[in-house]
Amino acid sequence: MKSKKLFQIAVLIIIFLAILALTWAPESLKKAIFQGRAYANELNIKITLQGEYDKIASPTIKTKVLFYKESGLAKQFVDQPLTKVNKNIFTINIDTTGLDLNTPYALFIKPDRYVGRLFCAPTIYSASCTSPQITISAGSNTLDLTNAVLYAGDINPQDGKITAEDISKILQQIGQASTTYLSGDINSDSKVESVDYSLALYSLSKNYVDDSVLFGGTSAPTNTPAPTTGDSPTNAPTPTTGNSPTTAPTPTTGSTGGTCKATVNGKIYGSAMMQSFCSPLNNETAEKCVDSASQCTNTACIDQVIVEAKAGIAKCGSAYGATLDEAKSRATLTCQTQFVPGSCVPTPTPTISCDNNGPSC
Amino acid sequence: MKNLIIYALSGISVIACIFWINNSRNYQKKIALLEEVNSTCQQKVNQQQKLSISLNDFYLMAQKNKTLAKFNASPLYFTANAVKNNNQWKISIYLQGDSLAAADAADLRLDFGNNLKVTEIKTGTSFPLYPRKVTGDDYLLITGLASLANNNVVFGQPGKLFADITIEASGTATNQKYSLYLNKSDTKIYLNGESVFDDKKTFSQIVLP
Repeated sequence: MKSKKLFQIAVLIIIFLAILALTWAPESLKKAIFQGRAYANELNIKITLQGEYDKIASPTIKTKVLFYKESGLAKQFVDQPLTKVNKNIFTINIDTTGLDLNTPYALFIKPDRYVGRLFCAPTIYSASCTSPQITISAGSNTLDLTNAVLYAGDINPQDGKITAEDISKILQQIGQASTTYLSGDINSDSKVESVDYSLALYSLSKNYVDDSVLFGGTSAPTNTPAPTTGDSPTNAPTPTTGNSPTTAPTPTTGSTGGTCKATVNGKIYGSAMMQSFCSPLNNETAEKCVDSASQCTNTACIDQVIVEAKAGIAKCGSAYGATLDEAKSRATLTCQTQFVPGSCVPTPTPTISCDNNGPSC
Repeated sequence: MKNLIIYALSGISVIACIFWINNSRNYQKKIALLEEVNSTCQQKVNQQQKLSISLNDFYLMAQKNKTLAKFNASPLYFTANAVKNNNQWKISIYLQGDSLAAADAADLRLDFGNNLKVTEIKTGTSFPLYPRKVTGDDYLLITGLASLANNNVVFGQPGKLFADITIEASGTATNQKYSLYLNKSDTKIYLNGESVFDDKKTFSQIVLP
């Protein structure tokens, strides 16, 4: 009887001590115990910004972070706050809950008033970034992207390039100070000074622009090949040249640039269900509105063909594990482009049809 | 009876613990709130300190405003003149407009086919500074800016040469007609943050003779 009482008292003391311990436990331990691992799904990204931030106590800079998969945009985060670590190194904390842990990503990072940069890996960025390679694991991740500096100057409008308009707006605001948002205040010290002008001038002189994302149909995908699926799984899906094909070109803007006319020849190779397939492109024609003749090049046209072939296969052949053999396809593709300046009427975007049996090679 | 007392005591101690934990949490919240208030106050103090413009920038602003007062925000435009010289063409681009007009920044972008090649760009005198001269396979982009050197603000002015461009044909066709096209979306002339570009008076195409 006595031992039973002792046992009860001991249990009470243990409960009391446990509660006491929990009260004094660090906040992180409490979260780990009560909320489990899901709480710590985060990605801590470290980046380098152009400029001197040594004497600026707490610069308030926000950034846009876009996660791209091979097939296109996966998730985007806007207005993410940057936290200064030291000098011009900043960190961004992203909640990665919901991102696929088995998929490689590429990250497009564009801080406010800065030119955006695309990262496929810590040392692979900008023009070298052609295939996503950043993988995220469960829990807490860190990603050091400080190898590449992000350059300033794209202030208003933030159109991905630094123009006379940006420089003029900084000049117009020079000498202004305010606790509210000043578009010309590049280094976020609440005043527009000659240092902001110098930062933008440097980037303009180097002609820095936002990096292009070429994979996954992210560069304005439109006309897409219609891969056929066939009824039986043994029938490998074949991208057909059906309705206005792969070439391309996307109606983008009714801009003052002009029309890019393209004629495409070649073959689209791929594989599905352990079988390879091939779809011919014979003098396929397409038109696209472009801002300038520089957007109407043979290379850009082939890139667009690849992008659309991928989009078509992703839509119609994903159930069969279909993939595009990009290298083999690229080797066969030829584009003849012609830039016609003047007003351009955007053509409607054809929808991807998966029940269109096209020709095979 | 003794058991009842023990259970009652244990119940009371658990409830006491819960109250104590809640209180400690509230206390933490109060501390956090106080820290937040302190941080906000500190930020305001920092902001007040931040808002002091350096004397140099204040002087620069005054100089800019003084110079701006001499000019009108009248429209400005580009004109072009092309001359053939053997297998090359020399294209002279001028900034034009009212004599009291001025610009602090201008971009000129010309597009052309792959059959032309820019061999030289000589900047003119309409702007004191030309920080960007870019040529691609099928375009060229020139930027002229105002100068702020020694806090002396000098704007771009009309009636002067913007740039001389030398171009040659990369093909062998002799009777082919070549043209350069103005890229209207990427060509800009600005003064004090406002567009002063007159795209109607600016050429849309330069046909090479």
